[in-house]
Parts: sequence; C-alpha cells; structure tokens
Amino acid sequence: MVRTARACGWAFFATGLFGQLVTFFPPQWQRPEWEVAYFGEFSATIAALVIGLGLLAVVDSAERRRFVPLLSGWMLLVLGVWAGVGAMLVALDLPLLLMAARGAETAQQATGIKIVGFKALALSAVYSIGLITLAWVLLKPAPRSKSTRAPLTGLSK
Amino acid sequence: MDKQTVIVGSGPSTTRVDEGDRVRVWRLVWGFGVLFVLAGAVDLGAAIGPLDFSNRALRFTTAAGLMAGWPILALGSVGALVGAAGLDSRRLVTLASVLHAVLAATLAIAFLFLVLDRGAAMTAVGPATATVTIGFFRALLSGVCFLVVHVLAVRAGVRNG
Repeated sequence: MVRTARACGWAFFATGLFGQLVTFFPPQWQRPEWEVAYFGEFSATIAALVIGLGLLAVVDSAERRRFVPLLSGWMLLVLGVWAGVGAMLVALDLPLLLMAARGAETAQQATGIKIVGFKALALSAVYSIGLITLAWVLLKPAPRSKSTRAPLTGLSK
Repeated sequence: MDKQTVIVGSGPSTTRVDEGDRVRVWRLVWGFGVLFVLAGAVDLGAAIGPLDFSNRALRFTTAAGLMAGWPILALGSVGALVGAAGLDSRRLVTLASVLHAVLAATLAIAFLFLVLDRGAAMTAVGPATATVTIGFFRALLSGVCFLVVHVLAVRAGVRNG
C-alpha cells in the first residue's frame, strides 16, 4: 500500500512537473494576455503536481523519512510563492482585461474574458496561501513528545 | 546496533513513534484536503457562473459542467474527512461530514436538472444532438460515482463523529 502510494506520488509529480514546464515555455513576459493565460493555466493544472508532492510528503513523513518531505516542503514553498507572484501580476493586468471585455463583440465574449481573469486571480491566491501554509507545516520541526501510535495505522508495505 | 528494529507486539516497550510526527501527517492530509476543496469550489464557481435558472438549456449545461469539474472538490473533501478523523477531532469530522452532505445534495439537484432539461438542451443545439447525448451520459456517470463517494463519506463521518 505504501509503495503503491509512493509510486502514485512520483507519477503525479512527474506528469504535473512536465505539464507545468510545457505550459511555461516559451515565456512572454510583459504581454498581459500571455501572463493571464499562463497563470490561469498554471493554477488550473497545478493540482496534479500538488497531489504528487502531497502524497510523497505524507507517505514519507509517516515512514519518518526526512529528505523527501523536506524537498516537498521547499517545492511547495516555491510553488506557493510563484502562485502569489501570479496573483499579483493578474491583479495588475485586471484593468486591461476589463477594458478588453468592454470592447468585446458580444456580451458572452465579455463575460468569458472576465471569468478567465477572475478565475486566474482567485485560484492563484488560494493556491498561494494554501501551499505556503502546507510548506510551513512540512518545514517546521515537529514537537517532540512520545506516543506508541503509528502515524498511518493500518497501512502496510 | 546500527539497524533500527521495529518490534510488533502488545508489550509496554514496543514501537515508539513521535506524537508530533503523527499529528503532522494527519494535519498535512487535512490541509491538502482543505486546499483542494477551496480550489475546486473556485474552479466550479467559474465554470458554472453566471447562473441563469430561467434558461433550461443553460441549466443543463451548468449541471453537466458542475459534474465535470467535481473530481478536485471530491478529492479534497475526502482528504479533509480522512485528515479530520486521523486528528481525532470530532468538530472537524462533523464539519467535513456536513460538507459531504451539502455536496451530495448539490449533486442530487444537479442530477435532477440534468435529467429534466436534456430535452431542452437537445432542441437548443439543433442537429448536434450527439454532443448533448455524450455530455449527458458522461455527466451522469461521474455524477453517480461522486454521489456514491459523498454518501459513503457521510456514513463514515457519522460513524466516526
């Protein structure tokens, strides 16, 4: 069970990371439409990478390994900060986006543009706060008190 | 002795695990669950908005979109329940169970709209009825699966909480 969960974690991590790299390249900073589209896609597809990192962190923390949870913690922190940067950039691009919505040909198109912008902003902000909090939980040292209960009782190799 | 030995038994000096590690593991599970619930809710809100219940064809599309965007929300809510149970927190288990009940009720309502408004959606799309039929069965399948997940989660929550 633990091995399966770990393999699942690595699979999600690899596919998620590959997906993120493909989304990012080639970067076109200073083009607001690219920034909004990129961070919208980043926050919409980051779930796979976060599921992978989460599975690896939980399984290896339960087995009292230190390296992978630490690595996951730092990666979650980087992703969280990156999502925060995204939320900030999208917020700065919002006036331009609303102007584009006002100039749209149909009302449906205008609603679509607004939804894309607000979804990118809200999702980036949620992921930023959530990932930084989870990274903090992973990276801070655990309080040392002894118990005889195993972390994931019932899971076996 | 270099190698760490794990002794399984009921005696007083068996495996000793840090309570801090145990709490941290379940807190992580709970935290990831809550994160995915929030992300799923934002995703769904953007996918179904703006709501227009007077238009039956749009109601069908909204219900189908709701069910298509359900996996992250379901994954998060299950993670939140499992994490809460692992943390031995009655309050969090109750909260997660209520969330599952709300999600199950929402799915059931969406299910109703999906079935009742299929005809209106078929009429609205004209010749492209195959798209509506495929969307209907896909949404129906995912709706049933996730409804079962939420009902089971509510039952597990009631037993644990």
